[in-house]
Amino acid sequence: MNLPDWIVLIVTLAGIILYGIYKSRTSRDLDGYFLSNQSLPWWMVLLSIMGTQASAVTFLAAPGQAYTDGMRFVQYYFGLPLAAIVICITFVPAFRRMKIYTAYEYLENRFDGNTRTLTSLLFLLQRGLSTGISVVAPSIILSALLGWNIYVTNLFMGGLLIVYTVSGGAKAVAYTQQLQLIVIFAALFIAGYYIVQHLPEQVGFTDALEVGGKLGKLNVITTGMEKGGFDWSDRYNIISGVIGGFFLALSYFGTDQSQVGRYLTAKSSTESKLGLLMNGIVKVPMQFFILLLGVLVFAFYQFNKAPVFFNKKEISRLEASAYNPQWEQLKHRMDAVQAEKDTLLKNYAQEKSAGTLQSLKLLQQQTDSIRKETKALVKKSGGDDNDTNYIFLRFVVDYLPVGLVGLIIAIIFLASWGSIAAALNSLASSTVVDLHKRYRRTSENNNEQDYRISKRYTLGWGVFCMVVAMFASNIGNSLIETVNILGSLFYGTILGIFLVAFYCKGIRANSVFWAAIAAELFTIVLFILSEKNIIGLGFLWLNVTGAFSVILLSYLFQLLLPKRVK
Amino acid sequence: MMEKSRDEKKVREKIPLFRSWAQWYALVLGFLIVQIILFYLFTKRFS
Repeated sequence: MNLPDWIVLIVTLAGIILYGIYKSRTSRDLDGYFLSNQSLPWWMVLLSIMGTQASAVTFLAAPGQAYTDGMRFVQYYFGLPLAAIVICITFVPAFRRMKIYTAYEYLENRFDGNTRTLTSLLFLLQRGLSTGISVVAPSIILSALLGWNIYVTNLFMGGLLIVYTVSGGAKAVAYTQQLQLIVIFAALFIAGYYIVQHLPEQVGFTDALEVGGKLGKLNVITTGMEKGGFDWSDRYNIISGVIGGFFLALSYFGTDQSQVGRYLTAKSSTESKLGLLMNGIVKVPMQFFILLLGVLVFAFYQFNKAPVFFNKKEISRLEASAYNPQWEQLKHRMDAVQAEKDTLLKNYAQEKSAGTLQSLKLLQQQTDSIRKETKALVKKSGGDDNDTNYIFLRFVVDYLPVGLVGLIIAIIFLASWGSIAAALNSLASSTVVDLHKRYRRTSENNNEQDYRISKRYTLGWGVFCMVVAMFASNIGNSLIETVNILGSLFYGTILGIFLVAFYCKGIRANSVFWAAIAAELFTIVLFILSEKNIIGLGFLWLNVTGAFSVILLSYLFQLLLPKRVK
Repeated sequence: MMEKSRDEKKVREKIPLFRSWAQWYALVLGFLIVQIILFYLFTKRFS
């Protein structure tokens, strides 16, 4: 990075921190700290929901995903609008009626304290670990690409936001997320414009789409059908997107405190619902355009020399290994394919024939084959063979102008801060409200003391996530990916508990409690079987199986377990 | 349940733009269906 990039990066990050501190003033009680005094309008709730959901990896992985696998990833979000409707009908009125701080408070009223504690512990476990991982995942990418020290990067990625999150609580989180999203969208729009502008002369936006489409990257809708049957291990298709995505979104927005805490800050039930519904409207198009950036980068690399592998650090490792001769051969083969592409596309602007695109398709198949061999070599040399998350940033660093590089790096930090800040706030609220205040009963309600304790827990969770991030820096990407799937391991069970609470009125507390424990074990078994390729089950389906297991087992335990005498 | 300090708002909230929430839900659902159709056409057009 050049000096202007550093200036843009530092000014942007410092601006957000100062703005967060400036907006920190709130009433010194739990209402102010965790609910922003229920004062926010729907559009701020919307931006807060979006800022919480979109992490740094969203902006890094999605374009890379489109580059390698096409745009079908967008189907993952098709269940979200449906879930938003169900949440508005059932969850929001129930939460707002009871005037709760956390979603899990509702469960004590409906079932008992044990079910509330179990659910909040499941939430704290998965959210605490995944927040630590969400610090380290973008840090690994930035440190590999820019040569930064991983621990210092972690400190900036997850440490600085603690300042305003501790001091300002939910209000500071919401206000900074608003500013962060504005910067993020502006930077992505400029990046997209720049890519199109730097395609060869007379090759425009639709030409880029033609190229991307013919080479299989505009596969927005896929059915998941193979050889006449449905492929259950296929991660992204319209069926898994609508059904699996619905259950995932229902769990995430309906039962994950990091999201529930956002729409509970709204000034009324109407504003909460509007924020959620508007997110249901804008989320899919937003994700579509982020993926489209990846297709534009892919089209750009048809006209310009593309790296064989996008993670420079792994290439350096390969060059220093015994596999260097094979790597040199692969590079030569790639150069030859690129030379053929250059000749073929030299007159593309004038010809634009179907024959040219067909020939390009054949050359791209050779490119894919060389990339596949390179990945195998990287893996053999003991490296990480997944370079999807590096594609967009590598393009940014190699081709975008000075200043814009700093801004794009800044949005990685901002996106990270938005989701981590909301997570810390929710971890603290659940710890204080669901555990601390219940198990360390104080004689009277002391607002000032509650406020101080809440700040301490926010700081404590911040430190915990940083420690997880520092340890995770050495464990490698494969384990990090597994931990990222952690959400689906717990979400199904948590959702099942809430669905029983809302829709199965006769089910007793002890039935749902033991059903939840059995369902969680069942989900973990399914996940292990799937990881070992004994069964083929995409992780999105774990949300569905987990939720239904709780419901079915609740009815079973209702028959088997005796009625508990209160 | 912990004791609450918040004031209960009993104000009847007006639904913006439409007469009922059902119409809002229909809008969200309709928008999703239109998007899926457009995405399908987009996929067909460029594949």
